Amino acid sequence: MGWQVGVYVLPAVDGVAYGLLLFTVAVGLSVAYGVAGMLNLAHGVVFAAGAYLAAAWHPTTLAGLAAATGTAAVVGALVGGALSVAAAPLAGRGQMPQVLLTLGLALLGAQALTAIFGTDDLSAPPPSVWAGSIRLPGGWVYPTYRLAFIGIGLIVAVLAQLLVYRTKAGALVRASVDDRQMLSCLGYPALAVNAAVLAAAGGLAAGAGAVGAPILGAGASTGPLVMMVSLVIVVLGGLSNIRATLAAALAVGELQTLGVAVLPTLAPFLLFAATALVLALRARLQSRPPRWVRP
Amino acid sequence: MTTLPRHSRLNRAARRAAVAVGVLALPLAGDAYTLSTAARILAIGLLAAAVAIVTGQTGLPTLGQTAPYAAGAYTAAFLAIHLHTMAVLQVAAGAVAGASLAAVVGLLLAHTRAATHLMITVAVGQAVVTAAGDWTPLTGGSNGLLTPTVRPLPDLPILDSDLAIYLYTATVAGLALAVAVVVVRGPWGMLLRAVRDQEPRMVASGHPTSRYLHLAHCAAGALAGIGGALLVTVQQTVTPGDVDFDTASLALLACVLGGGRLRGAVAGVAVILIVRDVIASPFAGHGPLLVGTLYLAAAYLLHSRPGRQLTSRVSATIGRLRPRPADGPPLPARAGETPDAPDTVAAAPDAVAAGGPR
Repeated sequence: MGWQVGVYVLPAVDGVAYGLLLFTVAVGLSVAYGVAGMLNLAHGVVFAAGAYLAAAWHPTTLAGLAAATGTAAVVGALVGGALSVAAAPLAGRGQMPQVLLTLGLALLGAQALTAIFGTDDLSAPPPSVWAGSIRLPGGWVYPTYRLAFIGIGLIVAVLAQLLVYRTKAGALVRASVDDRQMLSCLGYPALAVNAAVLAAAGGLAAGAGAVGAPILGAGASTGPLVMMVSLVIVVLGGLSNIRATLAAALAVGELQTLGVAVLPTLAPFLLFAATALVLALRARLQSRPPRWVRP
Repeated sequence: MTTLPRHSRLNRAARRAAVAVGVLALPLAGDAYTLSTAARILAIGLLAAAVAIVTGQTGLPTLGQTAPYAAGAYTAAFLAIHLHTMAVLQVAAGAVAGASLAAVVGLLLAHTRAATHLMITVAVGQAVVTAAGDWTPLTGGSNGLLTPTVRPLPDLPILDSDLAIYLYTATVAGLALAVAVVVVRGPWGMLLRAVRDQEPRMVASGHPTSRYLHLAHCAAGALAGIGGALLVTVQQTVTPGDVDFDTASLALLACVLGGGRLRGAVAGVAVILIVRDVIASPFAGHGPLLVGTLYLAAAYLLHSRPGRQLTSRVSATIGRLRPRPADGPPLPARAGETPDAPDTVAAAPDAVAAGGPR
């Protein structure tokens, strides 16, 4: 039995890395939806832009990787800010115009990316310090970069947590989810809050794309794939609860790596089946009467 | 409208049929490229009409109708390669496959609304594209399947020219669309529109609304499955690229352009494909650029004052061309809009998306 379990240890660690990457993307999507009411279907393209940037930059040193990530984050933040300006006239017209706007921007963005970087899939080598493999306790050999990536992802997750729950900016974000009108009354214009949130989300997504490029690569299918998985995480994690988003992201990450290793043929539908299960359970829990009503 | 005398209703039905046949006969004047483009418009048009059932009539925004569409397409291709080359069988199998997949997926989707529905449909569509790419023995992987030429019925000639393929596609698509329009216009469609506009009231009066939405998904799945089967006949190939996210968003755009109506959605596909494949052809490779601009235009015009003026002017012009002005399904009008403005239906998803009616 021992070796059978052992086969799945490395995919499970991969799942943590993938889950943390997805968390970085999905948290922006979730907060943007919760705060700005913006279902941003162009979020995946921003991620892909970061990935393309890092892959074309080809950094071989840690400083180079940091610079590429920083540049990608700035570009992503600018795109997010521009998106909030573009979406401002659509406020109050319901969701469909926003969906069309972000779909159109995603199409144009993907077109621009292939025009700039070509139609081939690009791959990025990790910086030379983290290029090799490392021997884990227990005798497993694991790529250093992925391990480092897990570290970076954990730092981002903790920082996001602190930012949202321990700072004034985070308090504003949470207040905006609960009662936007009251926040406007207190002198924080909705437009500025939206722009800040969308810029932060864009920066996070593009930064994640850059750091994740050595793992995922950059190609035409990167954007839609990450987008779809992030949407599932938003559905599972609910809005503006960072811990739930993190848990959902890790679960989906495991499903996409460990699930694929265990059940290769059914892999495409695992995600959907898990979503259905969670939503059904949640509906059941919510429809159950409170404890003091039950006999 | 149903109170019209019988002879005048028959008259109107005959006139509508004549208009439909006239529109379907238009591409016959063109060359082979026109014919194949028109046939493809009709196949994708059925997909967009399915989106119109779910999004326009029922009020659930969807980007996952490509799933039953893909099921129909791959089932039809599999049938033609391994079992039989009778095209009518393909259509029937495509409809069954699409409806079955939609029935399974609808178990979950019928219980979600608005943005959650949209997000999960994205996952459904992506799952099917991934499956189409991964299950290589069945689907041919990313290369897809090449299908043999087929004949509609045992005694009819084989479909080996663009003209024959177009005539066949126009017949099947026209019939399927006519049936769908009649059903959506009738009491069933009325129930769907009622759920879209006033779900709490429907629930309060004892209607099992989620079951209606499930049925709407099944019907739309069957229509999309027929579209997929026709696509295989038209292209004689199917690849994951035919059923990907871009196709899903194109169908949603077509549904919005068509005002959420079934025939409108087919017209929307015609507009998009003509912009992408005909108008953009002198500027090679820039088709998606023009289509992207079309998305942005639709986004800014939908529900805006200029957009409403434009749509009411267009529908007034069309109304003037027709002998009878009030020619459209009996749709609930929003305050301040004429029932003829196509905007009214597209308004619905947002009423739901904004958290449902009070």
